[in-house]
Amino acid sequence: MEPLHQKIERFLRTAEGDFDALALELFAYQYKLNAPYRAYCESQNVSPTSVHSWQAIPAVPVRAFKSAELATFPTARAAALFESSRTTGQTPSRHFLKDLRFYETACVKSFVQWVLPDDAKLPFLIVAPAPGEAPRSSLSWMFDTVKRKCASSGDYFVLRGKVDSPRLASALKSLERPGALLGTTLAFMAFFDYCREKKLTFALAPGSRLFDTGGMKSSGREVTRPDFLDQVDAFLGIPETQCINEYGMCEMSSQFYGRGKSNFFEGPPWVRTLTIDPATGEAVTDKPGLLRHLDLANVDSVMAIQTEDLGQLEGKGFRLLGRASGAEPRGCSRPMEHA
Amino acid sequence: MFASDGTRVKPAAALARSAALWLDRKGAFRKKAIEALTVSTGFSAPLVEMGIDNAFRVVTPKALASVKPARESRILLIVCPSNVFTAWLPPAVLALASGHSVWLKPSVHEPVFPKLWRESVEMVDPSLAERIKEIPWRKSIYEAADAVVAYGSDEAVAQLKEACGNKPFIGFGHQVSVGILFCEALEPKRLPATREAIAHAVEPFRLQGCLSPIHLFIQSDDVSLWRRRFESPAPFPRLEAFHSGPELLQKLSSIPDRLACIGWEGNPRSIKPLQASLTRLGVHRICPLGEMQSPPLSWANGGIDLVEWLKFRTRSSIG
Repeated sequence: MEPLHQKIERFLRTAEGDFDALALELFAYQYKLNAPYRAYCESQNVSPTSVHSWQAIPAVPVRAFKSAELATFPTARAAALFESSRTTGQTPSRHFLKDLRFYETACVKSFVQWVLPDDAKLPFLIVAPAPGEAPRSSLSWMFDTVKRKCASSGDYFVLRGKVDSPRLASALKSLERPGALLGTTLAFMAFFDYCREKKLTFALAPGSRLFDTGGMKSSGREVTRPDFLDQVDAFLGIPETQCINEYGMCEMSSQFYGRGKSNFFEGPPWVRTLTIDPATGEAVTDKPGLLRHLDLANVDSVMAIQTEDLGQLEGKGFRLLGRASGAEPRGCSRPMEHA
Repeated sequence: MFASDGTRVKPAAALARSAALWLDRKGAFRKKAIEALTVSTGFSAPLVEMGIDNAFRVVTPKALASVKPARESRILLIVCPSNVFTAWLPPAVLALASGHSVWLKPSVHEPVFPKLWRESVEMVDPSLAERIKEIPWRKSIYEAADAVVAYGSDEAVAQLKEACGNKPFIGFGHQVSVGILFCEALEPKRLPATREAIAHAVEPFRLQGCLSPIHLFIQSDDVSLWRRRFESPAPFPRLEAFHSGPELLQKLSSIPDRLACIGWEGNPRSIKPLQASLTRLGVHRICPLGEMQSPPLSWANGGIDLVEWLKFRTRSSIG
């Protein structure tokens, strides 16, 4: 019989496989080997013998990655550890990866589909730290992976946590062919501030594209998506249609993608999303709910993750509507689920 | 009160024995609970242990001795919060000890603690556990319940209160707590004890609980010195200087949130003259800093005596 890991890897590469069956098999595997997850399932009287559909697989709250070592293996043997960005006083999420096969396959597949559907070999200008500078950033790993596998050349433009705007401006000035700019929304905004100050604009060659992720969270800046894309067009000459937005998290091995100003995101075939009514805990389709993702590429951690992001299912994806709770929870006042 | 098999049930003793299961550091139940709660709460194992210890160490036969059986058994619905997983335990314990039934509506984000608490009661007294039900949300949830205790944001509590109509209702909305370090607590020989008290107050629930001090007022000219000495990478209260009682009271009265608890460290003579004024500010609990997180079962949170309220003679509520 084909081993589970092999079946999942094949599904990631070819989209061939039975998601439902693989999800149930992966749940049984994670239940058996991931002790904190098993304890969580047992506390709710759920086990592989009582779960018969992928929708019923228990999802861990995303915050569990802050407090528990959710792994099917001794974490000292992890090939990589991805951590969420650290903010003052906050504990970061930790995602232990046994090996990087699944992560790399998942991220390259989706990236090519959304950013390089024309198979273009472009120079990558990465406005994020290199993995050497941020070894626990899943984003830096992702950029490094796609650079290695898909780019004609690539360079990083964040050094010691700061965007190296003069060098990026110089690289853009000398770019005579289409290029791909990859980075966080915040990093691009910092570069646009520099351009504004220096009165710089660029008209990148047609076929150039921009990939951004992260939104403006934690920045304290109020910039809407349309405003951001207007600035991309104004400062770089990249039209909205060539701007790709990613929604991801360090707790997942796969990512969701959207295009232009839309808040609509799609995931790959090996990821399925439910929206959960925060009041009842039941899956809903006719109204917004909390996004719950099942990611088969999370082979050796936990596949089912309950986020605190609000979304509305639509077609093959969902509209991302924001966070369920914006304020820091305090004083027993985490908004109740029925509201 | 009698169980279905006719044997005499002593809820207080059973509740204390189930609390002992949670507190047994070598017990399999506690170990399993910590592992599961570490996943559901997002708190590290040491923080989960602190939460468990603070919540259950006060559930003793002595603490429950004053609870008299109610004349008529009613159903109390508790809408549980998601951030401070043990917050709802006092009303649940007191209601059961009074002879009432308890329905728990768990948070979607933290479904584990209600189940495990019921399990712990079932392990020592299955008939008592029959009076605990975990129920999912539904529109008619209030109709079958006789009274409601709800935890949540002010808005959510207000909505629930409205939905409950004339039913007895208590809503625990947004509240904050504050710590005070009088100058005596800063003397070199007292500093180790002060540090320990700060840790006991600050660490549980990473400052998310209504009993966590979000401000720490220090009777000193040099707050920056104490900031360097006390602060840790973990969430830490905002430090603020004060020099006299009147100045402290003025600063406390300017805090816009409801004050749940004030913890102090120093000479008892320093807090004594302030107590009446603090009560006037609406503070219902004034205690040593290190005890903030483990209030007695009898604590009248929000000024409401739960034992008395559970007789359902009044319709008290705080919103």
